[in-house]
Amino acid sequence: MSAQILKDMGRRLKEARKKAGLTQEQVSKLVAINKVQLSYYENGTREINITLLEKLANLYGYSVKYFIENGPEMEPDVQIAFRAEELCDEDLEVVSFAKTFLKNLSEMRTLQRM
Amino acid sequence: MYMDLPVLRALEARNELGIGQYDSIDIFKILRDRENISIIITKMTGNISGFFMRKDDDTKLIVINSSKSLGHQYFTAAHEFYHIKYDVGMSGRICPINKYDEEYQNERDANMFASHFLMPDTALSYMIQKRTSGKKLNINDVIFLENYFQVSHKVMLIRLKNLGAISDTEAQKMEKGIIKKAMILGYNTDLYKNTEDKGTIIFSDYAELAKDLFDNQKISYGKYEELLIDGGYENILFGDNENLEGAKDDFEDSYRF
Repeated sequence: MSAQILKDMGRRLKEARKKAGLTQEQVSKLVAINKVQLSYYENGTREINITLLEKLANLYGYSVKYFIENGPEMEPDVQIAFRAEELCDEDLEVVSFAKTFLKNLSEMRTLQRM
Repeated sequence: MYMDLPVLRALEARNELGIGQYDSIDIFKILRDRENISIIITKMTGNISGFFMRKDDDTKLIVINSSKSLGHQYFTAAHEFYHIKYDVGMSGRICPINKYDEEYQNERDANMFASHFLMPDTALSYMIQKRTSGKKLNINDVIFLENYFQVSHKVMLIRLKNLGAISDTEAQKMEKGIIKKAMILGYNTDLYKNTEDKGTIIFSDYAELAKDLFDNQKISYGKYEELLIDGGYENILFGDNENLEGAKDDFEDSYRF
């Protein structure tokens, strides 16, 4: 992956995290990596594996494609407004599960119509 | 007569759904079967009643905290329904418990809607009159009413105070020991208890959709499995398949159609 692609992806990851109202600590705990690793990805200095990218995309409410392709900047597909102090880390797992549930449900409905 | 907008909306919403003016409602059934809103009831540890999310126009989800009482959960479902129906620009929101400052105006509106959607003034007055024939309300009557409308004891006391049916002092006296009192009167006390022990409960067409897509060869078996696991339906794949025949039903033998 070229340095520029990594940088763009990192910038989007950081913006998506902020839009979701989450701190690096919360996200790193949730996806079971350490905070330093997450900041490497957000600074675009390390390559990220697809499984982790998928987890982050679900958590932030975007598709994986959004981070890989340098298309137009967008609002998340699934957005949820909350104040971080209202949620515990365990609750973030529930939010993440709910986002995946909703995304799958929407995709299944689209597929059924085809 | 002046009526707050959320109250008006609650009455209109009941009307649109064809709910009788004195009827109590099964909010989970209405949201799932009539409004096509999926519901997940699961344990959350923060100070949260629940939240909603939507994607596109036709996919909506309400998540409810199972560590609150069942009465509280019904109220949360109606509260989130308000956000989905009327806060159209909002794609998702987590609703904290008991935040009533100005910043949370739409939370207050959603609470007012929920209270009147589950229990309109006319229905409450009607049931009070029917139960007491004009006599002073006592704790047994309050328990009867909250069980009829399936709302929490706290919500019932607030509404009865607002309606002028009980005073502040009377409400305070009626606050404590409600589960025991309801039990002594022979009520099922589930309304007053949390549902943590039931695990995660899902009301949705999710599993049916996945099965339909697989049966019509629109997805592979691997994808079908993945969807079920992602959606919290591991039991469909790996669950105990015993006792799926159900209890013997003599109904068919006894009645001929």
